[in-house]
Amino acid sequence: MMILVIAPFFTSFILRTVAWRQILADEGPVATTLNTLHLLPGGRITETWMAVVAGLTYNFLPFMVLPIYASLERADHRIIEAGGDLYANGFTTFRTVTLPMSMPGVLAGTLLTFIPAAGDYVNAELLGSDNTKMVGNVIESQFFRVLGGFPTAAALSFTLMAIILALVFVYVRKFGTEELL
Amino acid sequence: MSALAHVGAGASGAPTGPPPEPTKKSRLAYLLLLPGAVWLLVFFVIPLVQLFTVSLQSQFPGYPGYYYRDVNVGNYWRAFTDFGPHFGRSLLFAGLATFFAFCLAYPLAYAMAFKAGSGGAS
Repeated sequence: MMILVIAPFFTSFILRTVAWRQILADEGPVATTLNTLHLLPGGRITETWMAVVAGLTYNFLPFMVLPIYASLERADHRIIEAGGDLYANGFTTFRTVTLPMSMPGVLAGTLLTFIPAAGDYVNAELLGSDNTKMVGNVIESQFFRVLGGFPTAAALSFTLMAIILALVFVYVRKFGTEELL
Repeated sequence: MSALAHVGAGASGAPTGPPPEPTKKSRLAYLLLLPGAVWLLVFFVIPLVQLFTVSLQSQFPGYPGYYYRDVNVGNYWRAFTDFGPHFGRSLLFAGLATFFAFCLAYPLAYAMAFKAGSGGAS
């Protein structure tokens, strides 16, 4: 299963996103199935926010899986078994023992996913439309295509960095363990 | 007392007298720190400062594509007024993607850690 998680890394990030265009295309398997079940309100997935979010989720999934896996792997199984010995059912054991023990991994995984995803523009460029442009797309177009856009692109980058930094600071302050801050 | 100060890697000097010489151990630590610090300085700190100066530049009127050094906060104002929705969308999409990735990843990681392979010998 580890190999399944790591296998996508052997292909380039952009190639995988282009492949997702085919998977989510109007005549593709996902869109036709959902259309047959009448579950798709707009009738298509590509060029909607759903495609962008799906692409982001897919592309950053390994960065979420591996830290959580590492923290769960390291967890002492005897402590989890002790939860059962103390008459907790499976869900209670998970909520009060397993989940808190894996919190460092969850924190690392969410940060590793959120920070690059907020600045990502490949997914929005390849899977989205003009209505789903993200900051990364604006920075890219200001930098490369708009004449005289350099200062605006730089200001956008700095603002994005400040916003992410502030959010991450609040998040780590709220959920982090004492060794992080 | 002096032997103790040497063991303390030069970090804790006595309140009276000059701070102790850095010992061999602490010098090695700084030496190990050097490549990473230089790398970060050259490829992170300097570009970041440059990015900040660029973000405050103004355009020469009538010469698109040419800039002069300035403190033009209007760039930041423009970033918010013209592209505010993009910021919101970026954070929303990233948050949604993080949430879905978490929902998918936690059961997967759980299965990998406890149910599959050699790690699952509970």
